[in-house]
Amino acid sequence: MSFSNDTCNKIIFQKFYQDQSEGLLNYVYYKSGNTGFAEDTVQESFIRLWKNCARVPLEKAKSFLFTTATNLFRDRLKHKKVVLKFRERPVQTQTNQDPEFLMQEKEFKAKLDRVISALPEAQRITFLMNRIDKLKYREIAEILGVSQKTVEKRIHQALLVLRKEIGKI
Amino acid sequence: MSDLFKDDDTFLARWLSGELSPQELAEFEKSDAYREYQKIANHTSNLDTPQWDTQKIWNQIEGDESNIVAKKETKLVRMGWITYAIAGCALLVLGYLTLFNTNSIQLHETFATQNETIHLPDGSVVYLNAGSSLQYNTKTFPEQRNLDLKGEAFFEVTKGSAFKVKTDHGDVRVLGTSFNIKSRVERFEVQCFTGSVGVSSLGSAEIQLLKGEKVEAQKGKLQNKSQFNALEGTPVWRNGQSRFNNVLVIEVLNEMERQFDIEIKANPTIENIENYSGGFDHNNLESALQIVCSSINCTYVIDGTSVRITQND
Repeated sequence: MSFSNDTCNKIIFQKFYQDQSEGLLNYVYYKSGNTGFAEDTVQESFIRLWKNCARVPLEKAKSFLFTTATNLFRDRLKHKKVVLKFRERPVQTQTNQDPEFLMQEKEFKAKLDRVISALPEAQRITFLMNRIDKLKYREIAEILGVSQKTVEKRIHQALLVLRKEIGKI
Repeated sequence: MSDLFKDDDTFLARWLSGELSPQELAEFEKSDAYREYQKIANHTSNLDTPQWDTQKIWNQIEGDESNIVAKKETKLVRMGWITYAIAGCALLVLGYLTLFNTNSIQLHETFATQNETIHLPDGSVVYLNAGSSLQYNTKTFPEQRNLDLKGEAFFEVTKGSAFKVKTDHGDVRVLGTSFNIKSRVERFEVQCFTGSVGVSSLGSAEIQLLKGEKVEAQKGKLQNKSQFNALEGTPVWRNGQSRFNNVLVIEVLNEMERQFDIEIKANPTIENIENYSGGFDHNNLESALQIVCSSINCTYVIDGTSVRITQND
């Protein structure tokens, strides 16, 4: 019988922060497109988790964090247009690419950022959690509290929209 | 558009995760669209988010909450001492924990579409509507029945000492009664179903409500009391409905987002239409939209979890 709770153990809590903070920061960023807001929200969410550590077992802590962050977002930033800017992971550079090709790639990349930002929120978050955080559909479903089927539909829909919108511009 | 996945709304997701059958894949690769999807998939797999300074945020978490962190650490030391005591006397430990338990804040939160029924230690029951949160201190609650509410909830309070609900807009104080509080960004409203309720807000003195009376706040000030139908004994949201009387349309749209877990896009002219009266059932998004649009003359398009509303000319 255990009276204490792992979540209240500061060493475990800090390790948990190191494991989860980036995913949560990304999630709030996908939602809000605002890095400062993402940092504040993540800070506040972890503080609330710490305050409630005794009643949140470690296996529930992740879902507590995402719920808290979602509610904080709902309270503060409503109906704001989202503009996301992505970095690109360094890719192996191919030699002898002609300037025109490089230009096209650059334009494509800019279009992609814009079109992703304009996706409906649920599709955008689901899609980016898969593409950037490399989460499996099952893992995304767990975090967002929806079925795996719903995740797959959103990904499918997001790809349809992206292709259509990129073709249009 | 390829006919390949005309009726299959997860085809591209399964393609992206490499779950298509060889036949499906071969067929897809022959299509014109394939190359474009491949390009999108390649590019998006190389995207990355801004560089986060997680150490800085951690320092702020520790710094901001230094008091709490210090308290918890003391508790951990005590826990170590307790571990020895467990061997000797489990009962002593239980008593000790009851006395020194500092982690006593109980928090209940609901997502969009979720409702929650909360049984409080004094036998009172709280029904939490979607997108809301309720918080109280389990340690002090038996003496001081204080709660913090964000959002909307219906309370059935057992008789006893004063029972106080604090919200961002104002406080509600009762002895034993049932009442509904709606404390959303754009609205503060309290309805009394049985007994009596005292409502106060920052800018106003306390107002007493009796059964069948309600009061709302505008710009922080409580308005005159008015009557509502309390005969059903419970607010309509508990029967899966939302009703509005003379409100801004934005308020209706926000409630729809909470009840259906959708995102509504509408321009400010629609959101700011005044004097809307009507309502919707929580089980059918389509008919909810039809009802609202028929009275304000708008058109809606549902796209997955997103809804776009435009005004008709």
